[in-house]
Amino acid sequence: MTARIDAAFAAPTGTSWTRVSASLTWYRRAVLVAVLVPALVLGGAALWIVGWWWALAWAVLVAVAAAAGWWAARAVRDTWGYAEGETDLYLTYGLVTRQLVVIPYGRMQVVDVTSDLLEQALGMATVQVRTAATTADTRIPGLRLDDAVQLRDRLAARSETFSTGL
Amino acid sequence: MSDADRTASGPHSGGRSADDRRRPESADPAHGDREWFGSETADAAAEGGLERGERDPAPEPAAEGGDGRAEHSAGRVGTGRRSGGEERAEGAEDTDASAERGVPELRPVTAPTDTHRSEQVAPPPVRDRPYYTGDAAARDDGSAWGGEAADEAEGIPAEHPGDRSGLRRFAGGGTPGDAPLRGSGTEPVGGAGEEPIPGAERAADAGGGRAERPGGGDRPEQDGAAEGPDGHRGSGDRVEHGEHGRRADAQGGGSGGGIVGTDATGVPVEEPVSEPSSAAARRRRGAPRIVPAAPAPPAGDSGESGEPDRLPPQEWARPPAAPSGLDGPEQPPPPDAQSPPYGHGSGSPGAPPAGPHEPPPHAPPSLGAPPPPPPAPSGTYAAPWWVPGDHGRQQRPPSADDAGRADPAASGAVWPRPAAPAGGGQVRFLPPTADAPPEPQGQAPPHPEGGPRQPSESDVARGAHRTHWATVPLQVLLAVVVFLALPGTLIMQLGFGWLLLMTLGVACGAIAFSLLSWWNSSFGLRDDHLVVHSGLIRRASREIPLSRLQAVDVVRPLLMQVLGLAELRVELAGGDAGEIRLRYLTWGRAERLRAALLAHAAGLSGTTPKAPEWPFYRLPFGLLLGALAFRLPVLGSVLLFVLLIAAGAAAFGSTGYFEPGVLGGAVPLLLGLMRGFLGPLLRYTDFYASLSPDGLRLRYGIFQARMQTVPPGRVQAVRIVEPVLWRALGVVRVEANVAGYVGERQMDSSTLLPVVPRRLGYLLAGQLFPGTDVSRTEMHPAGSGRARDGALGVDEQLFVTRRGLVCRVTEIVPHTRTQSLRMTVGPLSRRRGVATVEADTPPGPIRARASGREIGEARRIVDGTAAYGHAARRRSAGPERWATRSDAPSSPP
Repeated sequence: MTARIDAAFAAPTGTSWTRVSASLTWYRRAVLVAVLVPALVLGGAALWIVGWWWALAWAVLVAVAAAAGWWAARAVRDTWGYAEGETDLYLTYGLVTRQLVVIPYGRMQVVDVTSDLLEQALGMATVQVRTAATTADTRIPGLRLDDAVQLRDRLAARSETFSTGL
Repeated sequence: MSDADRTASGPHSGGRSADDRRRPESADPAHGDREWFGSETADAAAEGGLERGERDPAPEPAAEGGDGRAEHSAGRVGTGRRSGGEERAEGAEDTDASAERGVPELRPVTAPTDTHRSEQVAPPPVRDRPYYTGDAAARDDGSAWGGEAADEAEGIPAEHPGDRSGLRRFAGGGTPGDAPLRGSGTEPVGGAGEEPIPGAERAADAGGGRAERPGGGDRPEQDGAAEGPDGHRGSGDRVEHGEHGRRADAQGGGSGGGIVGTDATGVPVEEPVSEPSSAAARRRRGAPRIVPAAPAPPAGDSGESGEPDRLPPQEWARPPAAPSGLDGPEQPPPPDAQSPPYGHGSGSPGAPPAGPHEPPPHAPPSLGAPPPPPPAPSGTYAAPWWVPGDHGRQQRPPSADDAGRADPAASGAVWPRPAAPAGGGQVRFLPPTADAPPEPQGQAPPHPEGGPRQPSESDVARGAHRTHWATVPLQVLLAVVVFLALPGTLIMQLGFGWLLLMTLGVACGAIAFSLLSWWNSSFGLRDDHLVVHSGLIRRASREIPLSRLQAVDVVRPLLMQVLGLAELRVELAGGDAGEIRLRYLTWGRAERLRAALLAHAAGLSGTTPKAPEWPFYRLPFGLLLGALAFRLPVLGSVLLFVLLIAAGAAAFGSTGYFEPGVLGGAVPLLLGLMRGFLGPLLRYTDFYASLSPDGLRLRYGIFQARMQTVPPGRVQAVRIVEPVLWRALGVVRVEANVAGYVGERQMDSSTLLPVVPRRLGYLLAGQLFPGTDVSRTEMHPAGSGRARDGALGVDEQLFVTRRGLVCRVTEIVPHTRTQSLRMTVGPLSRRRGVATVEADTPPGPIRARASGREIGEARRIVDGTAAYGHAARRRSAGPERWATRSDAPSSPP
């Protein structure tokens, strides 16, 4: 089954998935830590009042979550991939729910590159592609900054070439 | 295609077996599929050709046609035939088959609606996907053929279900056979253009030179009813008719070409049309009148040849052609001959492209008939309706169908196309339910026409304007009323004097404010932009490119109807902010401005006269009432309500006191009923839909009269909803995604037809997406084997999903409108090895999604659909300026 699923999520013929940079893992882990540490401290402090065992249980819980998140950050990162087909951009992601999105270049209305502080620190950026379908707003996180800019330029150029209006 | 057929030929798709390599033999008739994605790609590729050939084992000659197609690159012919064959073969079973598949039995209507697509039809071959390829290649050939063949005047095809291009071509080239049709005054439907009907008889008819209603024979369900729709749909083809008629006229009864007769088996015997003769015909008709710009190429491809004729209808659209020119200062460059301004392919539903289907002999309306002086050439041609003084005429066009009967010439002359019926008054655009098609003009807001033209009023289409002055007192009134309703009651306690004083204060403030803001706001058309200035404190000025306009609505609440005012709403893509409201204008100006906006959006001059309309459907109040009541939720609530009341009464009777709990149940039920029943009932009273070159026009409502216009190509997706009880009535509801209708307006405006006979619903879908035919899309049940997963069908133009056991919903997204494709495998479906495939469209009620597809198949569907989408986009131009594009916009890059 797994093989079939993988086959179904394979890159289009003639291309292969371009995976995102490893920094994405660290980005997620950083976010994870940034969330869990305060949660641990505050929750622990609050629970300490109730009883130290509660605080301990909380700590264990947080630790488990952290471990899971730590692992998931890596696993999720591995699921991201994009491939530039001849006429469409293919994008795949998702650990639990796997998705494959095919966006025709001609349908791209806006291609954005964004990079928040943490991303900047890690030297990466997110490329966001918007189409007229709001459900289909798609992003490719964790690209190296240069790659992101180049990708955006390529996509923008192609969307121009293939443009067909709404 | 019959099941047997299907089974025999195609690789099976979506099978439920885990193994996606299943071979065709797997017999599940239900899925038959010829080019379905279920097959392994490689295999599919290999088989593609074969299948096609084998596919119709139809015993009849048709079979041969099929083979022919497979081999001969000439393809189209083959194709045409083949399909014809298929159809024929299916004949009777078809119905069953379709029923089984749940496919609407619309057959007769297959005619391609838009003439323009002819050249577009050849999808660029996408070679890398085998399954797709086989097909594509074949198709290519076909189209190629279409082009050249047409020249040769192969003529034929009367039936070609599958490819419209061929048809179209013919239309031009020729099936003179029909000409007689017109003459005879019978149903134009038979027209060459639409051959949807399983060919034999149609061919026969054609051959006979009689115009009979085709189809009548085998498909009972379609008869009668069919006419309306056909005619309608035919509109696209009308042109052809017109042509034929004319040509025939010229040539004499169709001997010229096209289908001359049928052989015993019902295969049409075709005779090549001689182009020259047609050219001659044209000449005789007075080519000059036609298109100044484009002399009809005598031997051009048939598609083109047809065009000149087509032009006429678009007069309003195309000022340029007119020698005298339209009055418009800024006329768009004459779209050239080939393209009828409106109606161009991708877009307009009924549009004119269809053209001209004027009564043959008479009226080739002058093509460019300049509005002002009715061109002399067109003898019968009545002065264009917009010519002042000729109001009666104006209204005529819409009523054409009716009129057509009585006075074919006249009606045809004016707006040839719809009127097509010229020949046979039988074409009705109205559903069978409405026996006598009401005069369109009745409801049509023809009245406003007077308004805009009133000399006293400056033309809204030029310069800057303010909204009507009555807006100010209305706003003041509103403010005062609100004030009295809210704080007023409190202040009342202070004494009447205070109240009066404060009210006066509020009124003064309101007057000052609204007067100033009214004075400061203006709107106007500048080039192709609508410029709106507004705001007192925060000045805002918006400049809206009209080519981006998504819809234009004219709304008139009851009070405004009394006062003769209207609100104009211009919908743009881009969320709730994407709406411009101009309130209030006089009704006449609103109408005029609407026409100007749409003309600009279509790429025409703002002074272009209002586009003609052809009635599509009028919803009888009885049907609306009945259908709204006849739904499970409504019936259930009524029943519950009655039970509750009865229980309450019983309790009251026995115990002597009233149980308030009853109200607790009854009141919400009542509210629900009002919302679910009364709301739509009032809202859609007097519903009337018509097609016009500037789009689909809907008028409805009594207390709040609305007129929506959705330009061609702006409908992103359509769904057809059939509540379980409605299936018994044979009616459906049609909803659409329109990019301008988002947020609250989505609920308001996305329903295109609240209650409509099923076939008309599908017909509308065909009109909205010209060149497509949902009924021909084969549906493939999900491989998961769960009924609720529904079915999916993908063909070269459409992505169609069907789901719902109780309330059946068919969602249709044309590839040209698909924004992106998505395949999703959730944790549960992963275990089952299935995936969900979804075609994303701009927001709206429709989310076309097919779940439970076997995962390998899902991927093939995604890839195949992407390829189709690419091909479709290349073929079609965007929706902007639909009137100016040349016919061949399509010109594949």
